[in-house]
Amino acid sequence: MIQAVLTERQGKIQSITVSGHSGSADKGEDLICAAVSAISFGICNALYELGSDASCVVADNRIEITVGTSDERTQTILQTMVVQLQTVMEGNETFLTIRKTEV
Amino acid sequence: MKFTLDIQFFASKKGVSSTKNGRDSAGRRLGAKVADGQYCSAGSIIYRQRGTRIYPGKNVSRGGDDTLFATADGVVKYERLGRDKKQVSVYPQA
Repeated sequence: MIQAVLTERQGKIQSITVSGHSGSADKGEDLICAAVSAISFGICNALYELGSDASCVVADNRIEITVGTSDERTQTILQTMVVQLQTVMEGNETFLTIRKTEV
Repeated sequence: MKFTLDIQFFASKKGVSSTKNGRDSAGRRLGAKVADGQYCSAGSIIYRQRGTRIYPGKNVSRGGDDTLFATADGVVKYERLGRDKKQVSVYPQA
């Protein structure tokens, strides 16, 4: 199962960490994994291309996005990511979960 | 782009491929049903087999599935048949 952990402070997203294995099919045929991978890599590139103050660490089955100085555009990009992940999660809760924590 | 998309980034490590094997039929419980020297009645099954591992001898007949059965009451005897074969006979008790 893939886990997306969202940390917020006063309603603003501070970090999003996506990690785990989807396990919905064999490697190369895993559609849930493809969706989550596309969303995560896309958002990381968007943050980078649009000059947001956010760092993206891509490790083994783990992507960590951490916000530096938050601005409206960065928040919009990250909230878009959350909505996209929620869209994938609907009907696929066995393979993807999203958890929100307040810091 | 800074990050190159790995479309299977969150997939499980190695392919968990399925196998087409993994089936087997139940054992057929072949073999001797009456031991050498044992008494048996006419019609009782002596040896279950596929093909003629053991041949029918005196007072023993072979069924459609090569099963050997007694055709008379008596004592069962497993004997050699020629150089490398075996047969089973039933000897009525005097």
